[in-house]
Amino acid sequence: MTDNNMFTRTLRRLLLLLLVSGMLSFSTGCGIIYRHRLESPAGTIWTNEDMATARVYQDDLAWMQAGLKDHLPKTSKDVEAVTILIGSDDLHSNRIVREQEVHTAGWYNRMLSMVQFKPISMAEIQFLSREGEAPHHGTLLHELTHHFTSSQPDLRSRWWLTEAFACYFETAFRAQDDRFVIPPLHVENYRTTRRKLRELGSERFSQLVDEVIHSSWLEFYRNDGEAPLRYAISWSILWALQNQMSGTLEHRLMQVAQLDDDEVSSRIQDVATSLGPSLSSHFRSSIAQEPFRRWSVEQWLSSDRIDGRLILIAIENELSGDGGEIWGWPCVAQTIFRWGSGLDRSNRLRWQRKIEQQLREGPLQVRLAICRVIRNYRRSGSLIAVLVELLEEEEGELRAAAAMALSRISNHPTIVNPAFWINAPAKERDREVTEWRLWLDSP
Amino acid sequence: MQSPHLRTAPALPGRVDLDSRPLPHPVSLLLIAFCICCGCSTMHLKPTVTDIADYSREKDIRTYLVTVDSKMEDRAYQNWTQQHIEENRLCLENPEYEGIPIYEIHYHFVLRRAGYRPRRIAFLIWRQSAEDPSKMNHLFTYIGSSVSMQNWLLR
Repeated sequence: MTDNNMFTRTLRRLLLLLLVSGMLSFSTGCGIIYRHRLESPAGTIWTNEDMATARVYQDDLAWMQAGLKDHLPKTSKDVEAVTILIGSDDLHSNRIVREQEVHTAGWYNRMLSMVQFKPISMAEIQFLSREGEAPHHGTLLHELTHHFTSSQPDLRSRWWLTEAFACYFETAFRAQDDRFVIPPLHVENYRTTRRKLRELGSERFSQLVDEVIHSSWLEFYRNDGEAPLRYAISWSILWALQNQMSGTLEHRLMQVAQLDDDEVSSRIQDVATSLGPSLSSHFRSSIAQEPFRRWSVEQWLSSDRIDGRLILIAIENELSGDGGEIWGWPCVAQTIFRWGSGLDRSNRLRWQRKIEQQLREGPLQVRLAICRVIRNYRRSGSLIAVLVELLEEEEGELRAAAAMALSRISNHPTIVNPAFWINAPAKERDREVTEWRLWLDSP
Repeated sequence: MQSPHLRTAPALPGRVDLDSRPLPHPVSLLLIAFCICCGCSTMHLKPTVTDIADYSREKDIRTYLVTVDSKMEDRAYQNWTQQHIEENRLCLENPEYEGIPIYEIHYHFVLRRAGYRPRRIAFLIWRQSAEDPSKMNHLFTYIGSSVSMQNWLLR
Protein backbone atom coordinates (compact mmCIF):
# COMPACT_ATOMS: atom_id res chain seq x y z
CA MET A 1 0.00 0.00 0.00
CA THR A 2 1.39 3.40 -0.97
CA ASP A 3 1.80 6.30 1.43
CA ASN A 4 -0.81 8.19 -0.52
CA ASN A 5 -3.43 5.46 -0.03
CA MET A 6 -2.60 5.22 3.67
CA PHE A 7 -3.06 8.95 4.03
CA THR A 8 -6.41 8.92 2.20
CA ARG A 9 -7.71 6.06 4.38
CA THR A 10 -6.61 7.79 7.57
CA LEU A 11 -8.23 11.02 6.45
CA ARG A 12 -11.47 9.20 5.63
CA ARG A 13 -11.51 7.50 9.04
CA LEU A 14 -10.86 10.80 10.74
CA LEU A 15 -13.68 12.50 8.86
CA LEU A 16 -16.06 9.63 9.66
CA LEU A 17 -15.13 9.80 13.32
CA LEU A 18 -15.71 13.55 13.34
CA LEU A 19 -19.08 13.12 11.65
CA VAL A 20 -20.23 10.39 14.05
CA SER A 21 -19.08 12.29 17.12
CA GLY A 22 -20.69 15.45 15.75
CA MET A 23 -24.01 13.70 15.17
CA LEU A 24 -23.85 12.04 18.61
CA SER A 25 -23.14 15.24 20.46
CA PHE A 26 -25.80 17.00 18.39
CA SER A 27 -28.52 14.49 19.24
CA THR A 28 -27.67 14.33 22.93
CA GLY A 29 -26.63 17.99 23.10
CA CYS A 30 -30.10 19.27 22.20
CA GLY A 31 -31.48 17.66 25.33
CA ILE A 32 -28.80 19.30 27.45
CA ILE A 33 -29.05 22.77 25.93
CA TYR A 34 -32.81 22.97 25.47
CA ARG A 35 -35.46 22.51 28.14
CA HIS A 36 -38.43 21.43 26.02
CA ARG A 37 -38.86 19.00 23.18
CA LEU A 38 -42.10 19.08 21.24
CA GLU A 39 -43.22 17.19 18.20
CA SER A 40 -44.83 19.05 15.31
CA PRO A 41 -45.85 17.88 11.83
CA ALA A 42 -42.83 19.75 10.47
CA GLY A 43 -40.40 18.03 12.85
CA THR A 44 -39.01 18.12 16.37
CA ILE A 45 -38.89 21.47 18.16
CA TRP A 46 -36.24 22.13 20.82
CA THR A 47 -36.72 25.30 22.81
CA ASN A 48 -35.98 27.17 26.02
CA GLU A 49 -39.05 29.34 25.77
CA ASP A 50 -41.80 28.78 28.29
CA MET A 51 -44.24 25.99 27.49
CA ALA A 52 -47.05 28.33 26.40
CA THR A 53 -44.79 30.04 23.83
CA ALA A 54 -43.45 26.67 22.70
CA ARG A 55 -47.01 25.51 22.05
CA VAL A 56 -47.58 28.61 19.91
CA TYR A 57 -44.55 27.62 17.80
CA GLN A 58 -45.83 24.06 17.61
CA ASP A 59 -49.19 25.29 16.35
CA ASP A 60 -47.59 27.75 13.94
CA LEU A 61 -45.30 25.11 12.49
CA ALA A 62 -48.25 22.80 11.87
CA TRP A 63 -49.96 25.66 10.02
CA MET A 64 -46.80 26.49 8.04
CA GLN A 65 -46.22 22.86 7.08
CA ALA A 66 -49.83 22.50 5.88
CA GLY A 67 -49.62 25.79 3.97
CA LEU A 68 -46.36 24.95 2.23
CA LYS A 69 -47.64 21.48 1.30
CA ASP A 70 -50.79 23.04 -0.06
CA HIS A 71 -48.95 25.57 -2.23
CA LEU A 72 -46.03 23.36 -3.19
CA PRO A 73 -47.66 19.90 -3.47
CA LYS A 74 -45.10 18.36 -5.85
CA THR A 75 -42.02 19.92 -4.26
CA SER A 76 -43.05 18.91 -0.75
CA LYS A 77 -43.88 15.30 -1.59
CA ASP A 78 -40.79 13.69 -0.08
CA VAL A 79 -39.82 16.35 2.44
CA GLU A 80 -38.45 14.78 5.60
CA ALA A 81 -38.89 15.98 9.19
CA VAL A 82 -36.69 18.87 10.27
CA THR A 83 -35.06 19.68 13.60
CA ILE A 84 -36.04 23.14 14.80
CA LEU A 85 -33.98 24.88 17.47
CA ILE A 86 -35.70 27.94 18.89
CA GLY A 87 -33.89 30.56 20.94
CA SER A 88 -31.16 30.14 23.48
CA ASP A 89 -30.62 30.83 27.17
CA ASP A 90 -29.31 34.35 26.94
CA LEU A 91 -32.02 35.76 24.72
CA HIS A 92 -33.86 37.89 27.18
CA SER A 93 -31.22 39.42 29.36
CA ASN A 94 -28.06 41.45 28.95
CA ARG A 95 -28.49 41.45 25.22
CA ILE A 96 -26.38 43.53 22.91
CA VAL A 97 -28.35 44.16 19.75
CA ARG A 98 -26.42 45.51 16.82
CA GLU A 99 -28.05 47.68 14.18
CA GLN A 100 -28.23 44.89 11.62
CA GLU A 101 -29.59 42.34 14.11
CA VAL A 102 -32.82 43.96 15.23
CA HIS A 103 -34.95 41.46 13.41
CA THR A 104 -35.30 37.81 14.23
CA ALA A 105 -32.52 35.64 12.89
CA GLY A 106 -32.67 32.20 11.35
CA TRP A 107 -30.39 29.68 9.74
CA TYR A 108 -31.03 26.52 7.77
CA ASN A 109 -28.52 23.71 7.52
CA ARG A 110 -29.30 21.39 4.65
CA MET A 111 -26.81 18.70 5.70
CA LEU A 112 -28.36 18.34 9.14
CA SER A 113 -31.95 19.20 8.09
CA MET A 114 -31.91 21.72 10.86
CA VAL A 115 -33.52 25.12 11.33
CA GLN A 116 -32.25 27.48 13.98
CA PHE A 117 -34.44 30.40 14.90
CA LYS A 118 -33.69 33.21 17.33
CA PRO A 119 -36.71 35.26 18.28
CA ILE A 120 -36.25 38.76 19.63
CA SER A 121 -37.50 39.65 23.07
CA MET A 122 -40.69 41.61 23.59
CA ALA A 123 -38.67 44.59 24.84
CA GLU A 124 -36.71 44.68 21.61
CA ILE A 125 -39.89 44.33 19.55
CA GLN A 126 -41.45 47.17 21.51
CA PHE A 127 -38.52 49.55 21.31
CA LEU A 128 -36.56 48.65 18.25
CA SER A 129 -38.77 47.15 15.64
CA ARG A 130 -39.61 49.56 12.88
CA GLU A 131 -42.80 47.70 12.17
CA GLY A 132 -45.67 48.40 14.55
CA GLU A 133 -46.36 44.72 14.92
CA ALA A 134 -43.15 42.80 14.32
CA PRO A 135 -43.51 39.68 12.19
CA HIS A 136 -42.85 37.06 14.84
CA HIS A 137 -42.60 33.92 12.76
CA GLY A 138 -41.81 35.15 9.25
CA THR A 139 -38.18 34.13 9.72
CA LEU A 140 -39.20 30.65 10.85
CA LEU A 141 -41.36 30.30 7.74
CA HIS A 142 -38.45 31.56 5.62
CA GLU A 143 -36.17 28.83 6.99
CA LEU A 144 -38.83 26.15 6.70
CA THR A 145 -39.28 27.08 3.03
CA HIS A 146 -35.54 26.46 2.56
CA HIS A 147 -36.09 22.98 3.96
CA PHE A 148 -39.04 22.34 1.66
CA THR A 149 -37.17 23.47 -1.45
CA SER A 150 -33.69 22.17 -0.56
CA SER A 151 -33.98 19.06 -2.72
CA GLN A 152 -34.98 20.99 -5.85
CA PRO A 153 -32.15 20.59 -8.38
CA ASP A 154 -33.08 23.88 -10.09
CA LEU A 155 -32.35 25.76 -6.88
CA ARG A 156 -29.06 24.07 -6.11
CA SER A 157 -26.15 26.54 -5.87
CA ARG A 158 -28.35 29.36 -7.18
CA TRP A 159 -28.35 31.50 -4.09
CA TRP A 160 -30.57 34.29 -5.41
CA LEU A 161 -33.25 31.73 -6.34
CA THR A 162 -32.94 29.87 -3.04
CA GLU A 163 -33.52 33.09 -1.10
CA ALA A 164 -36.18 34.32 -3.52
CA PHE A 165 -38.30 31.22 -2.82
CA ALA A 166 -37.89 31.64 0.94
CA CYS A 167 -38.75 35.35 0.75
CA TYR A 168 -41.75 34.58 -1.41
CA PHE A 169 -43.35 32.43 1.29
CA GLU A 170 -42.12 34.23 4.42
CA THR A 171 -44.85 36.88 4.27
CA ALA A 172 -47.70 34.35 4.25
CA PHE A 173 -50.24 35.19 6.92
CA ARG A 174 -52.90 33.32 8.81
CA ALA A 175 -56.39 34.31 7.71
CA GLN A 176 -59.35 34.31 10.10
CA ASP A 177 -60.32 30.81 8.94
CA ASP A 178 -56.72 29.58 9.45
CA ARG A 179 -55.93 29.65 5.74
CA PHE A 180 -52.32 30.10 4.62
CA VAL A 181 -52.57 33.22 2.48
CA ILE A 182 -49.68 34.57 0.43
CA PRO A 183 -50.09 38.33 -0.02
CA PRO A 184 -49.86 39.94 -3.46
CA LEU A 185 -46.39 41.26 -2.74
CA HIS A 186 -43.57 41.43 -0.19
CA VAL A 187 -43.95 45.08 0.84
CA GLU A 188 -40.50 45.55 2.37
CA ASN A 189 -38.68 43.89 -0.53
CA TYR A 190 -40.77 45.71 -3.12
CA ARG A 191 -40.05 49.05 -1.44
CA THR A 192 -36.30 48.32 -1.13
CA THR A 193 -35.86 47.22 -4.74
CA ARG A 194 -38.03 50.01 -6.14
CA ARG A 195 -36.04 52.60 -4.17
CA LYS A 196 -32.78 51.17 -5.51
CA LEU A 197 -34.10 51.26 -9.06
CA ARG A 198 -35.02 54.92 -8.71
CA GLU A 199 -31.67 55.69 -7.10
CA LEU A 200 -29.49 53.93 -9.70
CA GLY A 201 -31.50 54.34 -12.85
CA SER A 202 -32.39 51.54 -15.22
CA GLU A 203 -28.92 50.76 -16.60
CA ARG A 204 -26.98 50.57 -13.35
CA PHE A 205 -29.89 48.76 -11.69
CA SER A 206 -29.75 46.10 -14.41
CA GLN A 207 -26.03 45.64 -13.76
CA LEU A 208 -26.68 45.21 -10.06
CA VAL A 209 -29.45 42.65 -10.65
CA ASP A 210 -27.17 40.77 -13.03
CA GLU A 211 -24.45 40.68 -10.36
CA VAL A 212 -26.93 39.27 -7.85
CA ILE A 213 -28.07 36.57 -10.26
CA HIS A 214 -24.54 35.44 -11.02
CA SER A 215 -23.04 35.82 -7.55
CA SER A 216 -21.33 32.93 -5.83
CA TRP A 217 -22.15 31.85 -2.27
CA LEU A 218 -19.45 34.07 -0.81
CA GLU A 219 -20.54 37.04 -2.87
CA PHE A 220 -24.23 36.63 -2.14
CA TYR A 221 -23.95 36.15 1.62
CA ARG A 222 -21.02 38.49 2.25
CA ASN A 223 -21.49 40.60 5.33
CA ASP A 224 -21.30 44.02 3.69
CA GLY A 225 -24.58 45.44 4.94
CA GLU A 226 -26.14 44.95 1.48
CA ALA A 227 -27.41 41.40 2.04
CA PRO A 228 -31.03 42.58 2.65
CA LEU A 229 -30.88 44.38 -0.70
CA ARG A 230 -29.71 41.21 -2.45
CA TYR A 231 -32.58 39.29 -0.81
CA ALA A 232 -35.03 41.99 -1.91
CA ILE A 233 -33.75 41.96 -5.50
CA SER A 234 -33.94 38.16 -5.57
CA TRP A 235 -37.54 38.23 -4.42
CA SER A 236 -38.37 40.92 -6.99
CA ILE A 237 -37.01 38.83 -9.84
CA LEU A 238 -39.00 35.75 -8.84
CA TRP A 239 -42.15 37.78 -8.14
CA ALA A 240 -42.00 39.68 -11.42
CA LEU A 241 -41.21 36.66 -13.60
CA GLN A 242 -43.75 34.30 -12.02
CA ASN A 243 -46.39 36.96 -12.75
CA GLN A 244 -45.62 36.39 -16.44
CA MET A 245 -46.16 32.63 -16.18
CA SER A 246 -49.43 30.73 -16.06
CA GLY A 247 -50.81 27.82 -14.04
CA THR A 248 -50.76 27.12 -10.32
CA LEU A 249 -48.38 29.03 -8.06
CA GLU A 250 -46.03 26.05 -7.84
CA HIS A 251 -46.05 25.65 -11.60
CA ARG A 252 -45.32 29.35 -12.14
CA LEU A 253 -42.50 29.37 -9.60
CA MET A 254 -40.93 26.25 -11.06
CA GLN A 255 -41.13 27.70 -14.57
CA VAL A 256 -38.98 30.58 -13.35
CA ALA A 257 -36.63 28.16 -11.60
CA GLN A 258 -36.17 26.26 -14.85
CA LEU A 259 -34.86 29.35 -16.64
CA ASP A 260 -31.09 29.40 -16.51
CA ASP A 261 -29.34 32.43 -15.05
CA ASP A 262 -28.55 33.96 -18.45
CA GLU A 263 -32.20 33.69 -19.48
CA VAL A 264 -33.20 35.38 -16.25
CA SER A 265 -30.63 38.12 -16.91
CA SER A 266 -32.15 38.75 -20.31
CA ARG A 267 -35.48 39.53 -18.60
CA ILE A 268 -34.18 42.12 -16.12
CA GLN A 269 -36.02 44.87 -17.97
CA ASP A 270 -39.31 43.08 -17.17
CA VAL A 271 -38.34 43.13 -13.51
CA ALA A 272 -37.66 46.87 -13.65
CA THR A 273 -40.96 47.50 -15.41
CA SER A 274 -42.93 45.52 -12.82
CA LEU A 275 -41.48 47.78 -10.10
CA GLY A 276 -43.06 50.84 -11.70
CA PRO A 277 -46.38 51.15 -9.83
CA SER A 278 -46.29 52.71 -6.37
CA LEU A 279 -47.10 50.70 -3.27
CA SER A 280 -50.23 52.82 -2.80
CA SER A 281 -51.54 51.73 -6.16
CA HIS A 282 -50.96 48.07 -5.21
CA PHE A 283 -52.81 48.57 -1.91
CA ARG A 284 -55.61 50.38 -3.70
CA SER A 285 -56.29 47.28 -5.78
CA SER A 286 -55.64 44.62 -3.12
CA ILE A 287 -57.81 46.31 -0.47
CA ALA A 288 -60.87 45.52 -2.57
CA GLN A 289 -60.13 41.78 -2.48
CA GLU A 290 -61.52 39.98 0.55
CA PRO A 291 -58.57 37.71 1.44
CA PHE A 292 -56.17 40.67 1.35
CA ARG A 293 -58.37 43.37 2.90
CA ARG A 294 -56.97 43.29 6.46
CA TRP A 295 -53.46 42.75 5.17
CA SER A 296 -53.78 45.76 2.85
CA VAL A 297 -55.07 48.00 5.64
CA GLU A 298 -52.22 47.00 7.97
CA GLN A 299 -49.56 47.43 5.31
CA TRP A 300 -50.94 50.71 4.06
CA LEU A 301 -51.08 52.09 7.60
CA SER A 302 -47.39 51.37 8.02
CA SER A 303 -46.49 53.47 4.97
CA ASP A 304 -46.26 57.23 4.63
CA ARG A 305 -49.12 57.96 2.24
CA ILE A 306 -52.56 56.59 2.90
CA ASP A 307 -56.04 56.98 1.50
CA GLY A 308 -57.96 57.29 4.77
CA ARG A 309 -61.38 57.16 3.14
CA LEU A 310 -60.65 53.88 1.34
CA ILE A 311 -59.09 52.37 4.46
CA LEU A 312 -62.09 53.27 6.63
CA ILE A 313 -64.47 51.70 4.10
CA ALA A 314 -62.41 48.50 4.21
CA ILE A 315 -62.30 48.50 8.03
CA GLU A 316 -66.06 49.06 8.21
CA ASN A 317 -66.53 45.96 6.07
CA GLU A 318 -64.38 43.93 8.44
CA LEU A 319 -65.79 45.17 11.77
CA SER A 320 -68.65 42.67 11.81
CA GLY A 321 -66.40 39.73 10.84
CA ASP A 322 -64.59 37.25 13.06
CA GLY A 323 -62.39 39.24 15.49
CA GLY A 324 -63.23 42.30 13.43
CA GLU A 325 -63.71 44.70 16.34
CA ILE A 326 -60.42 43.92 18.11
CA TRP A 327 -58.63 44.21 14.78
CA GLY A 328 -60.60 47.08 13.29
CA TRP A 329 -60.97 49.75 15.99
CA PRO A 330 -57.22 50.14 16.57
CA CYS A 331 -56.83 50.49 12.79
CA VAL A 332 -59.46 53.24 12.81
CA ALA A 333 -57.49 55.06 15.54
CA GLN A 334 -54.28 54.72 13.51
CA THR A 335 -56.04 56.14 10.45
CA ILE A 336 -57.89 59.14 11.76
CA PHE A 337 -55.36 60.72 14.11
CA ARG A 338 -52.31 60.65 11.86
CA TRP A 339 -50.89 63.27 9.51
CA GLY A 340 -52.11 63.27 5.94
CA SER A 341 -54.96 60.81 6.28
CA GLY A 342 -56.73 62.52 3.39
CA LEU A 343 -59.99 62.52 5.39
CA ASP A 344 -62.37 65.44 5.35
CA ARG A 345 -63.13 67.03 8.71
CA SER A 346 -66.69 65.78 9.14
CA ASN A 347 -65.74 62.18 8.33
CA ARG A 348 -62.78 62.33 10.73
CA LEU A 349 -64.88 63.77 13.57
CA ARG A 350 -67.56 61.13 13.01
CA TRP A 351 -64.98 58.36 13.42
CA GLN A 352 -63.32 60.15 16.33
CA ARG A 353 -66.64 60.09 18.23
CA LYS A 354 -66.90 56.36 17.48
CA ILE A 355 -63.42 55.77 18.92
CA GLU A 356 -64.29 57.74 22.05
CA GLN A 357 -67.44 55.69 22.42
CA GLN A 358 -65.47 52.44 22.07
CA LEU A 359 -62.96 53.62 24.69
CA ARG A 360 -65.80 54.37 27.12
CA GLU A 361 -68.21 51.54 26.42
CA GLY A 362 -66.58 48.98 24.14
CA PRO A 363 -65.48 45.46 25.12
CA LEU A 364 -62.37 45.38 27.32
CA GLN A 365 -60.17 43.83 24.60
CA VAL A 366 -61.15 46.55 22.13
CA ARG A 367 -60.43 49.30 24.66
CA LEU A 368 -57.05 47.78 25.44
CA ALA A 369 -56.22 47.40 21.76
CA ILE A 370 -57.04 51.04 21.00
CA CYS A 371 -54.96 52.28 23.97
CA ARG A 372 -51.97 50.25 22.77
CA VAL A 373 -51.86 51.75 19.28
CA ILE A 374 -52.38 55.40 20.11
CA ARG A 375 -49.23 57.24 19.17
CA ASN A 376 -48.13 60.81 19.22
CA TYR A 377 -50.08 61.56 16.08
CA ARG A 378 -51.09 65.05 15.04
CA ARG A 379 -54.61 64.80 16.42
CA SER A 380 -54.41 62.15 19.14
CA GLY A 381 -54.28 64.88 21.80
CA SER A 382 -58.06 65.07 21.47
CA LEU A 383 -58.25 61.70 23.27
CA ILE A 384 -56.50 62.84 26.46
CA ALA A 385 -59.74 63.56 28.34
CA VAL A 386 -61.16 60.09 27.56
CA LEU A 387 -57.90 58.40 28.51
CA VAL A 388 -57.87 60.22 31.85
CA GLU A 389 -61.34 58.81 32.49
CA LEU A 390 -59.93 55.33 31.87
CA LEU A 391 -57.40 55.82 34.69
CA GLU A 392 -60.32 55.32 37.07
CA GLU A 393 -61.68 52.16 35.46
CA GLU A 394 -62.10 48.97 37.45
CA GLU A 395 -59.78 46.89 35.26
CA GLY A 396 -56.16 47.46 36.31
CA GLU A 397 -54.83 46.41 32.92
CA LEU A 398 -56.95 49.06 31.23
CA ARG A 399 -55.74 51.73 33.67
CA ALA A 400 -52.14 50.75 32.90
CA ALA A 401 -52.71 50.81 29.12
CA ALA A 402 -54.36 54.24 29.37
CA ALA A 403 -51.43 55.61 31.41
CA MET A 404 -48.98 54.33 28.79
CA ALA A 405 -51.02 55.95 26.02
CA LEU A 406 -51.14 59.23 27.95
CA SER A 407 -47.38 59.17 28.39
CA ARG A 408 -46.99 58.87 24.61
CA ILE A 409 -49.35 61.63 23.58
CA SER A 410 -49.08 64.19 26.36
CA ASN A 411 -46.24 66.24 27.80
CA HIS A 412 -47.76 66.17 31.26
CA PRO A 413 -45.56 63.97 33.49
CA THR A 414 -47.19 60.86 34.89
CA ILE A 415 -46.37 57.49 36.42
CA VAL A 416 -45.91 54.90 33.67
CA ASN A 417 -45.13 51.76 35.66
CA PRO A 418 -47.98 49.32 34.91
CA ALA A 419 -47.58 47.76 38.37
CA PHE A 420 -48.58 51.09 39.93
CA TRP A 421 -51.78 51.36 37.90
CA ILE A 422 -52.68 47.72 38.48
CA ASN A 423 -51.77 47.23 42.13
CA ALA A 424 -51.30 50.57 43.92
CA PRO A 425 -53.94 51.54 46.51
CA ALA A 426 -56.85 53.60 45.09
CA LYS A 427 -55.80 56.57 47.23
CA GLU A 428 -52.39 56.82 45.55
CA ARG A 429 -53.89 56.41 42.10
CA ASP A 430 -56.51 59.06 42.85
CA ARG A 431 -53.71 61.52 43.55
CA GLU A 432 -52.38 61.03 40.02
CA VAL A 433 -55.84 61.26 38.45
CA THR A 434 -56.52 64.50 40.34
CA GLU A 435 -53.28 65.92 38.94
CA TRP A 436 -54.40 64.98 35.43
CA ARG A 437 -57.78 66.62 35.93
CA LEU A 438 -56.20 69.81 37.27
CA TRP A 439 -53.89 69.86 34.27
CA LEU A 440 -56.85 69.37 31.90
CA ASP A 441 -58.77 72.20 33.54
CA SER A 442 -55.84 74.58 33.53
CA PRO A 443 -55.92 77.23 30.78
CA MET B 1 15.21 34.59 -6.35
CA GLN B 2 17.97 37.16 -6.49
CA SER B 3 19.47 38.48 -9.66
CA PRO B 4 23.06 37.21 -10.26
CA HIS B 5 24.06 40.72 -11.27
CA LEU B 6 23.70 42.01 -7.74
CA ARG B 7 26.11 39.45 -6.46
CA THR B 8 28.70 39.93 -9.19
CA ALA B 9 28.41 43.68 -9.69
CA PRO B 10 30.91 45.65 -7.62
CA ALA B 11 29.49 47.90 -4.96
CA LEU B 12 29.81 51.55 -5.81
CA PRO B 13 31.89 53.53 -3.33
CA GLY B 14 29.84 55.48 -0.83
CA ARG B 15 26.73 53.35 -1.33
CA VAL B 16 25.46 50.52 0.82
CA ASP B 17 25.10 47.12 -0.71
CA LEU B 18 21.63 45.84 0.29
CA ASP B 19 22.86 42.28 0.77
CA SER B 20 25.74 43.20 2.95
CA ARG B 21 23.56 45.10 5.50
CA PRO B 22 23.83 43.35 8.91
CA LEU B 23 20.67 41.78 10.35
CA PRO B 24 19.05 43.81 13.14
CA HIS B 25 19.83 42.54 16.57
CA PRO B 26 16.89 40.73 18.32
CA VAL B 27 17.17 43.09 21.27
CA SER B 28 16.77 46.13 19.06
CA LEU B 29 13.78 44.45 17.39
CA LEU B 30 12.20 43.91 20.80
CA LEU B 31 12.89 47.50 21.73
CA ILE B 32 11.18 48.77 18.57
CA ALA B 33 8.16 46.52 19.20
CA PHE B 34 7.95 47.75 22.79
CA CYS B 35 8.05 51.39 21.67
CA ILE B 36 5.30 50.78 19.10
CA CYS B 37 3.09 49.08 21.70
CA CYS B 38 3.57 51.85 24.24
CA GLY B 39 3.02 54.49 21.60
CA CYS B 40 -0.21 52.91 20.37
CA SER B 41 -1.74 52.56 23.81
CA THR B 42 -0.78 56.15 24.61
CA MET B 43 -2.33 57.41 21.39
CA HIS B 44 -5.47 55.23 21.70
CA LEU B 45 -7.16 57.13 24.50
CA LYS B 46 -10.16 55.72 26.30
CA PRO B 47 -13.54 57.25 25.43
CA THR B 48 -14.49 60.13 27.67
CA VAL B 49 -17.98 61.14 28.69
CA THR B 50 -18.11 64.87 28.03
CA ASP B 51 -21.69 65.59 29.07
CA ILE B 52 -24.69 63.97 30.76
CA ALA B 53 -28.00 65.72 30.12
CA ASP B 54 -31.24 64.79 31.87
CA TYR B 55 -34.14 64.62 29.41
CA SER B 56 -36.64 62.95 31.72
CA ARG B 57 -40.30 63.69 31.15
CA GLU B 58 -42.24 61.10 33.12
CA LYS B 59 -42.20 60.82 36.86
CA ASP B 60 -40.82 57.29 36.97
CA ILE B 61 -38.72 57.13 33.79
CA ARG B 62 -35.29 58.74 33.73
CA THR B 63 -33.86 59.60 30.33
CA TYR B 64 -30.23 60.58 29.98
CA LEU B 65 -28.37 61.82 26.93
CA VAL B 66 -24.73 60.90 27.37
CA THR B 67 -22.22 62.58 25.08
CA VAL B 68 -18.93 60.79 24.40
CA ASP B 69 -15.89 61.77 22.37
CA SER B 70 -15.33 58.31 20.88
CA LYS B 71 -17.08 54.96 20.66
CA MET B 72 -16.89 52.55 23.57
CA GLU B 73 -16.52 48.79 23.47
CA ASP B 74 -20.00 47.24 23.12
CA ARG B 75 -20.03 45.88 26.66
CA ALA B 76 -18.65 49.11 28.14
CA TYR B 77 -21.94 50.97 27.67
CA GLN B 78 -23.61 48.59 30.07
CA ASN B 79 -20.78 48.86 32.57
CA TRP B 80 -20.76 52.64 32.41
CA THR B 81 -24.54 52.94 32.89
CA GLN B 82 -24.49 50.43 35.73
CA GLN B 83 -21.88 52.53 37.47
CA HIS B 84 -23.96 55.66 36.84
CA ILE B 85 -27.02 53.99 38.38
CA GLU B 86 -25.05 52.87 41.42
CA GLU B 87 -23.31 56.21 41.94
CA ASN B 88 -26.59 58.11 41.75
CA ARG B 89 -28.49 55.47 43.74
CA LEU B 90 -31.17 55.43 41.04
CA CYS B 91 -32.33 51.98 42.20
CA LEU B 92 -33.31 53.44 45.52
CA GLU B 93 -34.03 57.11 44.94
CA ASN B 94 -35.81 59.17 42.36
CA PRO B 95 -33.94 62.49 42.23
CA GLU B 96 -36.95 64.48 41.04
CA TYR B 97 -40.01 62.74 42.43
CA GLU B 98 -39.44 61.65 45.98
CA GLY B 99 -41.29 58.47 46.92
CA ILE B 100 -41.95 57.37 43.33
CA PRO B 101 -39.62 54.49 42.45
CA ILE B 102 -37.95 54.66 39.06
CA TYR B 103 -39.49 52.19 36.62
CA GLU B 104 -37.13 52.56 33.68
CA ILE B 105 -33.86 54.32 32.89
CA HIS B 106 -33.08 55.11 29.26
CA TYR B 107 -29.59 56.05 28.15
CA HIS B 108 -28.96 57.56 24.73
CA PHE B 109 -25.27 57.75 23.84
CA VAL B 110 -24.30 60.46 21.40
CA LEU B 111 -20.91 60.67 19.72
CA ARG B 112 -19.70 64.24 19.35
CA ARG B 113 -16.38 64.92 17.62
CA ALA B 114 -14.91 68.12 16.24
CA GLY B 115 -15.72 68.47 12.57
CA TYR B 116 -18.50 65.87 12.62
CA ARG B 117 -22.22 66.10 13.24
CA PRO B 118 -23.31 64.52 16.55
CA ARG B 119 -24.53 60.97 16.03
CA ARG B 120 -26.50 58.60 18.24
CA ILE B 121 -24.46 55.46 18.70
CA ALA B 122 -26.09 53.42 21.44
CA PHE B 123 -29.27 53.09 23.45
CA LEU B 124 -29.77 51.15 26.68
CA ILE B 125 -32.75 50.36 28.84
CA TRP B 126 -32.71 49.36 32.46
CA ARG B 127 -36.00 48.33 34.05
CA GLN B 128 -36.99 47.85 37.66
CA SER B 129 -36.95 44.16 38.60
CA ALA B 130 -40.43 42.73 39.15
CA GLU B 131 -39.10 40.40 41.86
CA ASP B 132 -36.94 42.90 43.70
CA PRO B 133 -38.02 46.56 43.18
CA SER B 134 -34.70 47.78 44.62
CA LYS B 135 -32.87 46.27 41.63
CA MET B 136 -32.60 47.37 38.02
CA ASN B 137 -32.31 44.82 35.22
CA HIS B 138 -30.49 45.59 31.99
CA LEU B 139 -33.00 44.86 29.21
CA PHE B 140 -30.73 45.38 26.23
CA THR B 141 -28.07 47.54 24.64
CA TYR B 142 -28.74 48.66 21.10
CA ILE B 143 -25.65 49.56 19.10
CA GLY B 144 -26.43 51.70 16.09
CA SER B 145 -28.31 54.75 14.96
CA SER B 146 -30.88 53.65 12.41
CA VAL B 147 -33.81 53.37 14.82
CA SER B 148 -35.42 56.77 15.05
CA MET B 149 -35.58 58.63 18.34
CA GLN B 150 -39.34 58.46 18.14
CA ASN B 151 -39.22 54.68 18.26
CA TRP B 152 -36.80 54.78 21.15
CA LEU B 153 -39.29 56.79 23.15
CA LEU B 154 -42.26 54.55 22.43
CA ARG B 155 -43.74 52.58 25.24
